[in-house]
Amino acid sequence: MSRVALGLGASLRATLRRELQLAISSPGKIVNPLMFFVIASSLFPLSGRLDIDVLGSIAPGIIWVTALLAVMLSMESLFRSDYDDGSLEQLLLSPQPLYFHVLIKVLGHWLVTGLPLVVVAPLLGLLLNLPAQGYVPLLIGLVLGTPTLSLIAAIGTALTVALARSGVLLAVLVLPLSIPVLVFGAGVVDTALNGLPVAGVIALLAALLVLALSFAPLAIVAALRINVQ
Amino acid sequence: MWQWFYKLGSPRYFYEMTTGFVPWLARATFLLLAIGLVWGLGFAPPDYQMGDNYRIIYIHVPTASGAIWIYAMMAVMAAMHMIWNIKVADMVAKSCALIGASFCAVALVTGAFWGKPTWGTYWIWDAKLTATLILFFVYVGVMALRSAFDSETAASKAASVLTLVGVVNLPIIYYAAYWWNTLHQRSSELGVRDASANPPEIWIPAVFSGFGLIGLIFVIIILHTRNEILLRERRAQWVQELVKQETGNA
Amino acid sequence: MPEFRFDSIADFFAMGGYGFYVWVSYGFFAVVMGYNLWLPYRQRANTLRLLQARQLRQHGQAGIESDLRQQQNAQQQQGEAH
Repeated sequence: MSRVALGLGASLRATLRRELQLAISSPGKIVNPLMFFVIASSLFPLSGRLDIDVLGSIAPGIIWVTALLAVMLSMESLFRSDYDDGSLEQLLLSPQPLYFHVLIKVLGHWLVTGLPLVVVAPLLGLLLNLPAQGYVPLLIGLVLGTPTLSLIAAIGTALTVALARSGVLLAVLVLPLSIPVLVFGAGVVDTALNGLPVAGVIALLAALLVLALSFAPLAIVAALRINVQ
Repeated sequence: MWQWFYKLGSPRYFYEMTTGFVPWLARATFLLLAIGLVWGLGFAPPDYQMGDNYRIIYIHVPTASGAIWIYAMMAVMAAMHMIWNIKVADMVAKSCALIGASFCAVALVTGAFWGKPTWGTYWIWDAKLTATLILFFVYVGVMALRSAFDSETAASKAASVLTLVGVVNLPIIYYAAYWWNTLHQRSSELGVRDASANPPEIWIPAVFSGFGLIGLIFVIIILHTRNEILLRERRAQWVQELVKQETGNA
Repeated sequence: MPEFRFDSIADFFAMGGYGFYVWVSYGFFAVVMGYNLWLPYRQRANTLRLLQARQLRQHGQAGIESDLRQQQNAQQQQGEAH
């Protein structure tokens, strides 16, 4: 009993370490989604003659939409290399509980791609004239929301891992399912800008995260099993 | 009951049972739709507020609620396919996607043309409209995913997983759309009336068109499923004989 | 018994000034539902033609091979029955 538990813990730590090492050895994995996030957000002010106050009021929406796209794009490669070199097949055959393994893998990926987005977001708030009372709600929302986005995107990635060109298909699958996170995430900031209490909305975002943490790994494992036979 | 249920899971039984059933269902559907729509268009009295424009609701309301029920059916079929590996269930689920997306599209377009004279605009980001639009996207996603695979088995399983993920997500999407609306204070513009306030001359045709559209859903799904059965069971003896009979070559 | 609410056919098409909205809605409905009904009919014809072509090909290959395939079919059917 304890040996199994020990084996599980050790294997999860190994998975996490491997994800982080992979990210450090190829910095593009961290930098590219981040650059996408910054570039895409800065396109909006350039795309029209927006009043500076209008820009500030749509800033939460812009930041959240581009964060959503950045997370989704960064997830495309999550299972790809494991699928190509056959280690995914080995993993699915191994007696390890896949639920935790997949969960750690997604969260490890979030640490190197999602968390940097949260760190850069205040800078974008500055560029987009986000009012001062919006920064803290924006950060809280992103910390709670981006892992949910990663988990939802991972379902799409797992479903399409065996397909050669999956980029646009992934977007068609994942974007509609991400809408609630977007609504509540941008809603936290909106609520704060309107001077209303944000605790309720933050609780909703947290509830979505708990829901995604409990159910998304099941869907991811089922999807991976379909594609690896 | 269970016996019948198991039998319906056999492609051959499903095909043979529906052969005699579909023409009658199609006739009943046509009759119900004809009565409902002709009555609704020509014989029901005009609404005291919206005049004759309200006649759009005879197709708008049933397609809008039908789009949701078709998704529910697709999800039950996907679950049956995943849990018990029933092939017919997956074929029905596959047939649900296009008609479901079509119902969403009709509901959205008729809603827009109802809304223009009523609210003064084709589109508002009302909770119901938003949620129907997202439901349409989800249907499109399920169809796109299924068609992306070469292997029939992988396509079925992947579409089932996505359908079930959608089931968890759709109530949340509905809730999010309503919540978003209260934040932006837009739903008050609509002033939707209580349906029971309408006199029977107005809602009785809607009952006919509603049941007619339910019939239409089943006719289309059964016809699609029958084609799917022929294609997937093409190596079975009974399909080969059926093809010989139908095409007239021995 | 409900009676016809319009004075003339022209009046019926005008829909009290809402003719454009009502008829575009019903027209779109008819087109989409018509397509949904037409599609399975066309697919059925295509499927039958495809399966017929397969059968003709199989008949062309005489001898052991087609016998073998028939045997396989029978076995597969048995397997499915269980």
